[in-house]
Amino acid sequence: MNIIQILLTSFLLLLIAVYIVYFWNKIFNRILFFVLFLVGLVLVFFPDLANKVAHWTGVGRRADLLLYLTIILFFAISIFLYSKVKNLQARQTEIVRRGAIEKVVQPRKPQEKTETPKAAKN
Amino acid sequence: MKIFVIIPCYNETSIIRQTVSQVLEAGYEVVVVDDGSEEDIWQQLADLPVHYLRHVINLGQGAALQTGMQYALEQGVDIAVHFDADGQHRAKDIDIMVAPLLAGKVDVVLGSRFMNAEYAKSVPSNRRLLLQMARYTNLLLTGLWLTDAHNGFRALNRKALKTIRITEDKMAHATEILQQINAKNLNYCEQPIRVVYTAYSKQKGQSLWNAVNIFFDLILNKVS
Repeated sequence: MNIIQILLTSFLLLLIAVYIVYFWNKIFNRILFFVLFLVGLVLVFFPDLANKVAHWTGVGRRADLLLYLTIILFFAISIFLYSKVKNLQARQTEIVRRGAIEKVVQPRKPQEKTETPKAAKN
Repeated sequence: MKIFVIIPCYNETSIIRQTVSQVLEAGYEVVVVDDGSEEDIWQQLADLPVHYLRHVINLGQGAALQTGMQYALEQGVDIAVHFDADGQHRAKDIDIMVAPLLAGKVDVVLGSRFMNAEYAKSVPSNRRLLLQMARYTNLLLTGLWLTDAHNGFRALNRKALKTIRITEDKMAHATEILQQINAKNLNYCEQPIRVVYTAYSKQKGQSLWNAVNIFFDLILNKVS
């Protein structure tokens, strides 16, 4: 094992730990994360394999292939996050709106003709 | 006919009372939606017979209008009017705006500065040019060909109030309303109104950069 492999493996293990503690929920996330972790491991320990995939797909080097995949993944994640944020904003607006309507101050109605028994007695 | 004039308001303490008073004097019921103002709007209006709603945080003019419209619907109104807080709209134009709805001709009435040559002249020339160009972008984005593509003075009947739902909280709501009018086949017309440009309101107006922001908001809305 060389230094870069140790560093990258440690980093991947740390990411897993953080993910398990904070984000471990839906099944899709679990599968996706596991697949990405395995891909990451493979790329670290079998650089030649990565190179072969790169040549096969017509990309110059494995680093270029990784870059392209990363760009696409980044774009997809950005859209996903933007959509989540929009959703959150809509829910926030709904909460604030409900509060505003429930607490409305309406114009005082003109004095009612029939007084309450108490007032009438006075 | 129950008519509410909805006035969304953000920190317009210096002018809100004057605006509200003019609408009340014109004989209309007023709904003020305080959009999380840091200044004390209620203090300006406490003795006036208005409906007062307050967002606890600032959401944007679009959100404030929708809150007003939803409240109006729940109160059983027949017509709701969108009216600016900063004194740019004239209370006496409300009669003109509401007339086609009372006659049952359309569902939505949109104010226009450019239907009347005299009113058009009072629009600052740089803004006039920008707004003339905006007519074309507006046609592309909303499918409506209007003489005034960006006017906050609107009147809606009950059908329109139920049909239109503003989801753009900030300034893109103006275009969103037009898109919904088109998509849901609401009948509409424009009415000539005059916009009053004071030094106060001119410095507040839409900048070119806002137009860019609005454009991106609407495009991204289609993605998410």
